[in-house]
Amino acid sequence: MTVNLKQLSEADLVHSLEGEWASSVNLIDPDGIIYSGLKGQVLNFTQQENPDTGEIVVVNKPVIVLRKSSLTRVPLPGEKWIVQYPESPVLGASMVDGFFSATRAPENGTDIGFMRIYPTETEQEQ
Amino acid sequence: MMNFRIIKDAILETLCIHQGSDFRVVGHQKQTKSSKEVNNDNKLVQVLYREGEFPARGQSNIIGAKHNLVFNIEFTVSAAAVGDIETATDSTATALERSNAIASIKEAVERVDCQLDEFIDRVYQILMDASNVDFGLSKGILSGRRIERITKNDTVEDGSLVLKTGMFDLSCSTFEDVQGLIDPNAGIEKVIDTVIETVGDNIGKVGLEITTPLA
Repeated sequence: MTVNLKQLSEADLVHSLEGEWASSVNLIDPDGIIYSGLKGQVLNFTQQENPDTGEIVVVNKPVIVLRKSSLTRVPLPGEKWIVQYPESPVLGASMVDGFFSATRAPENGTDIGFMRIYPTETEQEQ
Repeated sequence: MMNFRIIKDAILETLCIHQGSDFRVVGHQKQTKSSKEVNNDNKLVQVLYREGEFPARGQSNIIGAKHNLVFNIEFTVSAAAVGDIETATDSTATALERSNAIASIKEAVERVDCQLDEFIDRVYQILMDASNVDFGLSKGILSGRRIERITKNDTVEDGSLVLKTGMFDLSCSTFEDVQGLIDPNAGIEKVIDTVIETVGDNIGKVGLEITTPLA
């Protein structure tokens, strides 16, 4: 069987996303089903440009990257999901609950089979 | 001090008097605000003198120059999503309970827009209240106070929160006096030693010495 480069890249995600650098992530789908023990890349802080000044600043903007072929159910546009991810790379760090709507996940990376999730901070309703 | 500065301080003071625990008033600051800093009850309002116009027909050497002022009243709010996150993530709850909790989560984008509307309403009521027609200043310093325009800017996703800003254009008029150049040596004591000759002073001369600083 011939394997093309895209297929090879997707297969490599098991190392690049789910390998030694991976963090443990849980997903909860709109039906309330919990998918625990997933592996993915978690970046808590990212660089972005301040639109007012043009300067590059570091902001707390978590990004979670998951391999789509490892998911039992892939988030679809318009669905509301919960993602639980570690608040820092420290061993035993507590998990943070984030909310995301798949509408806000345009970077599906379908070419090589990963998706990025940008969770929003969620507060407990009083 | 020109009246526009006095009026700006009065607007700030009026907002400060009425601020509760739900928002903060600051003078204009160029530094950008972190969305975390203005989340929920930490809404922020700033006052900025934006522009002034001196119409040709309003100039007078007697009552001063008419000055039409425009102030920007700037609002900043940010919000997180809100919902029953405890139930939504509770592994001991049923899937249906979790599903209902997730479905009822209000997205941050929706919340921040409502928060800004409420904030605009609140500040409008303060500024346009009849008791604040002069912003606490003496009668005659300002006139024609009105909100000309309300602007809401695009929602910005700022990290894990969303941020929204808005603005009032508040206009009014005043008259500015020219109070003369400020002496660069003000504060340094000057002595003016002079002699005033009075008519009918046959005995001597009346002397007058002024030692007060010139301001």
